[in-house]
Amino acid sequence: MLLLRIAAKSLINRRTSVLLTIISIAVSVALLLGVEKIRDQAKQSFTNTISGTDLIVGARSGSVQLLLYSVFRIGNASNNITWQSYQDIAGHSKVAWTIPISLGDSHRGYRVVGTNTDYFKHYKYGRKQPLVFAQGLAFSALHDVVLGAEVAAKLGYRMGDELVVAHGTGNASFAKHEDQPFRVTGILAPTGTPVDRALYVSLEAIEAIHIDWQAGTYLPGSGGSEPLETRNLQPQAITAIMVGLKSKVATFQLQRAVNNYRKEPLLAILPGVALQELWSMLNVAENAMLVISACVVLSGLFGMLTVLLSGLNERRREMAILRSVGARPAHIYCLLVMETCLLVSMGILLGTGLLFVALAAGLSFLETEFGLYLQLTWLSLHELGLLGIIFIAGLCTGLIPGYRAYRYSLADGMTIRI
Amino acid sequence: MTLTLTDICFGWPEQPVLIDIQHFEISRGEKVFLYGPSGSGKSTLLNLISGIQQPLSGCVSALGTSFGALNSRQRDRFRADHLGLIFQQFNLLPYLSVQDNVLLPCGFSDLRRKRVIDTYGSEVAGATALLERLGLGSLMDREVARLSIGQQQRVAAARALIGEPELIIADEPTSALDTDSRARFIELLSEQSELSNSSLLFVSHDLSLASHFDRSIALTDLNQGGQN
Repeated sequence: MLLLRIAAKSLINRRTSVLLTIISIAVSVALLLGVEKIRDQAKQSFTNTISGTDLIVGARSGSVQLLLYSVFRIGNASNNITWQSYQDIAGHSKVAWTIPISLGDSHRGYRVVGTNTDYFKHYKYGRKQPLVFAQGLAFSALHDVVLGAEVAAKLGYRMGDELVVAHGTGNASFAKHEDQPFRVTGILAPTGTPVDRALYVSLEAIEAIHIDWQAGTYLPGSGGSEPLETRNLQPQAITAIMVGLKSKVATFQLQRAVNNYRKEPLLAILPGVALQELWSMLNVAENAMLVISACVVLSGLFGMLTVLLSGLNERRREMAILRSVGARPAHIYCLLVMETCLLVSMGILLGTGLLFVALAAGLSFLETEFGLYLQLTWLSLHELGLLGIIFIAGLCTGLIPGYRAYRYSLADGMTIRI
Repeated sequence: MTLTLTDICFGWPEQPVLIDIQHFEISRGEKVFLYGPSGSGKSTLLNLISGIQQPLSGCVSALGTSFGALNSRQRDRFRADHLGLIFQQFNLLPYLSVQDNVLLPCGFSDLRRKRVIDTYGSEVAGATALLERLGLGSLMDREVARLSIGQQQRVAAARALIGEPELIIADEPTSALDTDSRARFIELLSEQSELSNSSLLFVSHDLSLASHFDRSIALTDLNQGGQN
């Protein structure tokens, strides 16, 4: 206890360099924990993107690609599914429900998803949470649109507002379907998934706005002059299908059936498996981040080592005095190690505090700017383990100046050489 | 005998012998002046007496215990229990209060703590009493850095004296003081050593101080080694 008190008072006496050391450790600790937290929560919100869907069916390509464009709305489909194939799958005896998805248009950078009202009924995310309307209802008229939470918030749309859908998925598309504006009839509650970042219209609407389009170009009148109301707006093709089964047991059976479908090359994936596959691809970046933050912690510890070692020479008198009043070299050694422990503990405490303050302050910013939904949760066992590793690494670092001081106090004895 | 050196010899490897003393002793309660000009092997001798270094040959014994029979850990403990040391200057840890500085030896020696508690009831009472005896009663909680050098040396003396160790070794404690305070400090120190029933070994290069002591001896006469 005496040594601990001496160590603490000695540190307070050198408060400037000590404070800087603590801050550098704290920043590195906060960074490491921050990276871990974001990684962890990103993974969680990532795997929470879709649940309750047993299979996703698209044109034959890679499973990750299909997942990316159907669920995350990243990239494009290489091919479509014919309406006939959709009908075959939807009519399969094991299938409970299907959600057709038709992609290809956008609105100011946000994807427009053509689907039917089953989307709002059957799509689930997180722990099988259904989609909830914050305002309004699903589309019913042809030119109705439902907005994801982020689209409504970012672009400032309210119920009843009109908007125009652009052809293609670019951020600044010049080809717009200006002849057929949409009216907002519903806004979804936030989910923290890509659902928030899309607009939803009916499949028929997608068909309708493309009437006068031939091979990607707008040719007014080329689709004929028949009024929309009397046309058959059933699409020829869609982009993907989400499938719910009556029993999970049938999953692989149906997957095989789809993959072996004779009339066109199709691919059925299990969303969970594909998510896992995708996440393991992101692993490299994730690990790189972890390595970088570990390096920051290491440099923080090296900084501490530098401060401790450079201060040691000036403290030889202090050690000689302690020796003269009866301290053994082992006491001196302990004193130095305790100092390090105090420094590292303070750094860890401050760093953790720093992280929580930063998270609390930046939570809404991360949410609105990056769509990253973080929760202020208490440290997980894994994070506590990381802190433990940092503490032990700090302790090991402290052994070096401890040993140096031990050698000094053996060599110097009580004569003070400065 | 409080301290006995017999035929001790010390030198660093492959260097001429630094210390070669046939016989030197201090009896209980004796106050000895040791004249040690610089370069006479004074620091080495003090390290030998306090058991920090071991002689190559010969025997250092204190209070009937031979240092040669103890390991370094036991010697450190012995020093903590039975030796009070005062240095030339900067004796105190600047970040501890006057009281904490005085009580440092009690942290490392159960024996000295026990003695203080037996006599005064508590460590703090012991420190207070000692500081008062040394005329520092009002400075208990003062920051060390705000004390004059004379006051600092008296605090160092209090620290050496606390728990009544058998031998006080003072290494040039007055060299930073002016002549007046020098004499006063020595008087105070020898008075208090008497009260604590401690022997005093006072080392200095200033021969004029010798008159304050029971006995005076020159290290240059005592030490046969290190003459070059």
